[in-house]
Amino acid sequence: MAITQAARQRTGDPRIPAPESHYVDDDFYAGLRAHTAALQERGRPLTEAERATAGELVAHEAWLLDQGRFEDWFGLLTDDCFVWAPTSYPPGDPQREVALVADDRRRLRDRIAWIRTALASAQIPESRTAHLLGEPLRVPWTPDDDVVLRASYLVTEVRTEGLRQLAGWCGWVLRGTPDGLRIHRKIVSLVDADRGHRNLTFFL
Amino acid sequence: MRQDLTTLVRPDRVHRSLYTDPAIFAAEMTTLFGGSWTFLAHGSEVPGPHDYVRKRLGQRPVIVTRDGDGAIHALVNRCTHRGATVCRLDAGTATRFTCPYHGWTFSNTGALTGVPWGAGYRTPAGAIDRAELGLGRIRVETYRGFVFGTLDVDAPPLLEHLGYAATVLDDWIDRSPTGEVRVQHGAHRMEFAGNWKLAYDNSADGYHPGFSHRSLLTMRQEQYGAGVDMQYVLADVDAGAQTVADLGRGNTFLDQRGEIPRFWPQAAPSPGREAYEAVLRARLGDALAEEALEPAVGSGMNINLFPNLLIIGNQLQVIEPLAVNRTRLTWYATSIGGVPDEVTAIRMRLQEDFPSFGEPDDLVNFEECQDGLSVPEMEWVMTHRHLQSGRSWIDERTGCETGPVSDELPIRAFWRRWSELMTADLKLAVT
Ligand code: FES
Ligand SMILES: [Fe+2]
Repeated sequence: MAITQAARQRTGDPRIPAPESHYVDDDFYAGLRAHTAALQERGRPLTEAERATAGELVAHEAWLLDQGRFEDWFGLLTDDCFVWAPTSYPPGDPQREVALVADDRRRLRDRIAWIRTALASAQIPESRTAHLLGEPLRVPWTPDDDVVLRASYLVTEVRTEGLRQLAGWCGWVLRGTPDGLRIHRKIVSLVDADRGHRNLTFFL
Repeated sequence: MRQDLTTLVRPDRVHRSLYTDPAIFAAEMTTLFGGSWTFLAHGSEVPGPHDYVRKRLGQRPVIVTRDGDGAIHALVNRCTHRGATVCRLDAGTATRFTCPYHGWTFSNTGALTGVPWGAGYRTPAGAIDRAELGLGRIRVETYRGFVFGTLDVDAPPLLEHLGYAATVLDDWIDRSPTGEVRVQHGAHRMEFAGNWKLAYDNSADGYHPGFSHRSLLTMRQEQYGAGVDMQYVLADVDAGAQTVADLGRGNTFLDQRGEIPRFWPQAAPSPGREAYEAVLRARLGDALAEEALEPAVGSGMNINLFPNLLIIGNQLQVIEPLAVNRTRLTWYATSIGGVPDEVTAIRMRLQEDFPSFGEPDDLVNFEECQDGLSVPEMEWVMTHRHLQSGRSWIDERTGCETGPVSDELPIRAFWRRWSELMTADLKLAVT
């Protein structure tokens, strides 16, 4: 693969690492399936302390997306992050099914770079979004140093004309890092995942 | 209408109303989709005995079934009593369909097998004639798993209709070491506010990528440097190695393979690339691993089978017209037999690439075409690129008219077939 050192440096954002991606393998998919199953279990409300950390993080994530601050949003993700929005409902097997979004860190960065080219007809003008999250509930997960959360999810989007809404649930796996709590995985399960959609080039 | 139609399609241009007139759309749904060999489904969508899947032929609701002996049928999803659909789920397994309205029951080959309180239909001549009240049956033929249907009772056999397109399809299918294609991996169902033909026009349009896909190409170049993905469309494509061809009867072909010496080294980076490549190299050795990885990447072929199937890269795109200015383009993901599971996993992620970074820009351009085509005073859509440049030739190997990739000969070929069918005296019927 013709990834040169020069190309690596051409990322435009010093926080962004080189474009290799080594962590999406069988074990990774097994983990994603396990998280997806756990996220469908009964959860409990966050404690006061969890609200101040985990609750604040997912609310801040939504705010950054709505503000179009994608580079800042990218900074909330772990190095081995993944965002998944399946085409099936409930979610099927990510390893055997195409998704609306199935992005590792590298492809998320590509998505930001793609919008920032300002050449994408699908994002001229850019989408405006308003993410609305229901109360985040923490689902059981061991080891419990990861915080696994689910919330009802509604995103409203407008680009040219006509408001539209996508609904479902959103799950997060949050992980402690030396820089604080970060988003390790995000799963967006839309109720109409397997139906027709117009332009989905904004961040879910 | 027929008289008008002949003035609307000209050698170098077509009239805007072909994209905007609801009456023409209605005639297309009846005549064009009913009268061609129209793609219905892939056999792997109904893999087992008694599996079924719900589809459309134009706008007619259809059930494609596999019976207990493995034969495939296409039934009109319309109760012969008072018209309700008898099958209401997208897919499943059933030996019979019971109409939820008054309970008439049909076998998965279409026979009427049950009528509640049948005595009510008695006449002095006897009981109800079940034989004449089976579900409508659509003539179907299959080519290597691809199921096509037609209502034209005089249509030539499918293979004759496909002509050289069958050979091109062979090339695509035989990227699988076992010749097995599986359409069982979900789909991207993309809707756009435009006429369905904008999608067909685009599929063999080698003129647009350097412009419509500028965002994708710029992103690739900035992030990964030259040589990754389809950056060959950035230079004058007519000086390059891609071609387009008229395969006959509205079927067309855009061949990118001349620009792709090896697929895997030039593929867009996707999740799992490095990890699975390493696993395969360790397990199979370099040579076999590299061989296995080649078909993980899109085929470099755009095979367009009139009027509704666009086989591009590794996906089957099915054009589903919803209204004159509304279309769903369903991209069925595929996998193939004879390759390691790792290749399938890579293939899933790679089939998300163009739906993420490529097609959305085209779809917006289709929508903007539809908007522009609403202007009554501006009547024509030009289709004459390379019409008189003298650049096309008859390929001796294929017998097909072939041209440089930006030649609009595929669009002109589409319209020739369109005119033929729309003005023909077709006998359309279910059996
Ligand atoms: S409409 Fe089907 S049984 Fe009456
Ligand atoms: Fe395109």
